[in-house]
Amino acid sequence: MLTVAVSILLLGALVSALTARLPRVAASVSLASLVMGCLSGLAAAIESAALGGSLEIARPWSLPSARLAVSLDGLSIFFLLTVLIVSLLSGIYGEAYIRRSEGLSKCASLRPLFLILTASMATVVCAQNAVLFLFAWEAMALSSFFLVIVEDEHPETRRAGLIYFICTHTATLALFVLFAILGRATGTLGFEGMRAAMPSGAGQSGLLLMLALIGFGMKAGIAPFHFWLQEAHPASPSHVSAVMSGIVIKVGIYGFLRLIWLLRSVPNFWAIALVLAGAVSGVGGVLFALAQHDLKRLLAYHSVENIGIIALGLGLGCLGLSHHRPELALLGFAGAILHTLNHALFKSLLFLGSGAFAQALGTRNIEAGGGLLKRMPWTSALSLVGAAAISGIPPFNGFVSEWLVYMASISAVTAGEARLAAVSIGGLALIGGLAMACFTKAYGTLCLGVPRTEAAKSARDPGPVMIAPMAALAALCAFIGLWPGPALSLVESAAAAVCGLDLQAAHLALAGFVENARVIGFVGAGVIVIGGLLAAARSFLLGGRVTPGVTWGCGFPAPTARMQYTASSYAQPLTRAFAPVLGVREHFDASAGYWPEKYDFSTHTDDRVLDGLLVPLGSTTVGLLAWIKRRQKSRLQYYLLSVAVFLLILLAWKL
Amino acid sequence: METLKLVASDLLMVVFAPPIMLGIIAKTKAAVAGRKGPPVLQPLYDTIKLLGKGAVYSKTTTWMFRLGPVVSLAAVIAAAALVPLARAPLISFNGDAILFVYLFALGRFVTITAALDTGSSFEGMGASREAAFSSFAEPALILAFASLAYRSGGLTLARMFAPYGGPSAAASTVLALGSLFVVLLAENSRIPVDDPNTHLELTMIHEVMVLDHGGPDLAFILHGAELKLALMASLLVRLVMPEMPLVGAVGSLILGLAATAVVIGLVESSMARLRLIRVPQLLVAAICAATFGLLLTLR
Repeated sequence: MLTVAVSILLLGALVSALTARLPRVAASVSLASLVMGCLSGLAAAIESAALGGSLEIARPWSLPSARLAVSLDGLSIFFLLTVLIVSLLSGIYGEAYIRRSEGLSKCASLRPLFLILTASMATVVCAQNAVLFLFAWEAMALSSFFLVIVEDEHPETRRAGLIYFICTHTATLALFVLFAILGRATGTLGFEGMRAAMPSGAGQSGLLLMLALIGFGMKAGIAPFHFWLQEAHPASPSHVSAVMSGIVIKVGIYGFLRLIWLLRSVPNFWAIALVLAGAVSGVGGVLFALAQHDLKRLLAYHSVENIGIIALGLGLGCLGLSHHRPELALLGFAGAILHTLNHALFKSLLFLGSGAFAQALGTRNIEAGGGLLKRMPWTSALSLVGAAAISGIPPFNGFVSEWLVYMASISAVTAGEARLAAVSIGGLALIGGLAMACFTKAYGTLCLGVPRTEAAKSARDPGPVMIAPMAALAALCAFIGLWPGPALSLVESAAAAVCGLDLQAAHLALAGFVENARVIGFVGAGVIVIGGLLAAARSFLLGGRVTPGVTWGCGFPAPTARMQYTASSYAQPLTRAFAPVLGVREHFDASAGYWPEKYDFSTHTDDRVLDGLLVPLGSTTVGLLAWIKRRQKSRLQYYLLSVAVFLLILLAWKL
Repeated sequence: METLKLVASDLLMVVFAPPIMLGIIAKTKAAVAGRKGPPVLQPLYDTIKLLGKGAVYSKTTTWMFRLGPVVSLAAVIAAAALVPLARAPLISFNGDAILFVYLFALGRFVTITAALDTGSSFEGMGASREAAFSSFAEPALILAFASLAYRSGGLTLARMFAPYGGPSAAASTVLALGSLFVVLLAENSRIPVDDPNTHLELTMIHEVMVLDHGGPDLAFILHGAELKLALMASLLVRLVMPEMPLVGAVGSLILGLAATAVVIGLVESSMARLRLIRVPQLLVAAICAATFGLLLTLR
């Protein structure tokens, strides 16, 4: 079933690439193959989840030590479901999105690349062989690179593409080394064989962690390897951004989990490194998000934040593994895995919404919006669900997974790693408050109040083809928040697979937490019911005595849209408080005179790692090399002589 | 009869105690200033009067503006179900302390979005301050909870706030109490963070967010705020007060709430509000105290 799904997707990519000159045919072929491929893949995942066993396919392949081996254990099933659901919904949305956009509808490569990306992600999460894994990983990296640079007429898109290209290949390089080391230690490149033959101290070296952090962490966007994310995600078309931010970065998390599964046990410093990196990513991500005005850039920084929360869960899980406390390990991994799904759902929802907003406004700047809840009621209402869910507020799904990570942190205290737990708890609490500040800022500026521009005044909802996928994602967010049972049982089997425990033991260890999560859903439903009763009481008390009026302006009779609070002003108390971290640059031009007419104020926040460290480092290196190059204007004979001397030295050293 | 008594005590705690607490604060402040002050039941009269009024909705607003008051009150009522008031809470499980904190966050979220829905610059200003200060208050609250959770062995409010006499109990209790009290002042817009009696929109935080609400909506908001104050105060009371044999659980809680109200009134009488730029410093101090308490418990 799974091979059928991947084949359908790839065949669809081929046909839609060949028929690119007939956009209608290409569109219907790609849509049909996306729907069929994803549905058959989902069927395969659900079937093997129901069977409980793993479905395996292994075919010989004429590459050295490679086999075309795929298998579906609990972990793979979970990630396969996530990948296919988000790809399917984003792809359907994308079809309508492409049609509404003049530039994109002319682009022949967009549809085939999207299908290839989906197929390669599905393969990565099911691969049972390192060569196949790397092959699919590279296909995923390249197809997403070409998707990033689809709109390559803009210079910032080309810049983003270049940065992404360099980063993703650095990551792949690290993975080549990682799997080479593991393959040498175990003598095989098949995952099952590697796990069986893994020496017990294999994870002890810090090199493996470093390679994993570069390889998987860079793909996932864990700080300080996050710096490509806020460039690449805004540059691509919105449905691609939804897939990239929703699931491509999660494949990095899958890689981490699969590696932990391969190693069977990890030392304590993995836990420390992951928790610290998670806290830095989480707090840093949300702080930088607060300072953004570009909606998609803001959302991209929030991906860094959420990856931070996931990394906290991963670190706590590793802590459990290294301390031989299976309950803590299960709890930490369960929090990380559930948050992976949750973030995939609400982040893709928000990115799809941002696409609709950007198309309506003609810009991604949130300050150009305002009052869209009246003019784009569906997009705005569904984005509200996403905004509440990503802020970790009950009764939505983000709260359930953050709660699991909180519980894992408290369990870590009893495991004797108190300082780590304090970092995790404090970090999560800070992230929660700041995320809410950031999303009320973005949502309030865009959707509430009065329109700030003409474009915002005439904005309209997109058609049902774009609304329906968002509605499905929002419904899933609410469903997991109110009824977390089904999602948690999938999470359970995935976490059990990572820890190498059998399902029954994992079920028993997590039973109490699953039960409490149900109570949380119940309380969430209670809030809705009480709110409904209160609303009914209010309409009874009012009895129709409602007068329309104007907003109170402290006696000022003619308020205009320009007097509304802006996003920058809204975030200012926090950006000021964290100014040393953010380094916000402010430009303020005030014309002099008694009646100053023109003011100009703007703020910019550069990324600390990319613009603060890597770009200066790069230009310094280039400058240094140019300096050396200028010194070297000598004759060819000297070069030949130096080569000869070098060879002689090597020879002498070998002797 | 027993159930009747329980329902009566819950009703007392959730419906009547909150406004009376606010009345006691006002009375204390009046007494310190040498005034007579409004009657203790004045907040209750205000709420009842507001419930009978009609509403004026700005033409800028949408359903978001009407969602705010009901959801914020519903969230606080749901939080009340988790708090050990005079007896064991209605709903109690390992991890309910986190849910308690995030239910307040839900209330704040809808209050902020309702404020931004009016398009008023003043309400935007208030919303911005509320969002900023609460993101400092939340870590302080959760870290204080964490130290209590560690010493009681789980994140269950009922057990965290049960009497505890273990090693280093005094230090951790005092530190948790200190940070929780600062959070209580900040979250419930009391002096020194916010002045509920100010008349200048520019300097308000919570009050300015609800400027456009009136009638039953305002009644819901006011009662929600009072209930939130009472819930946090009752946690503080349970942390320090033993159950007194003569008056029983309900009686000692009521006495404790009245004492807390008097303390808040005295704090409000004895100092001015801080400059807005200083508020984060106060809250960071609360975070430090909570962290210190956590480290002391862990030692």
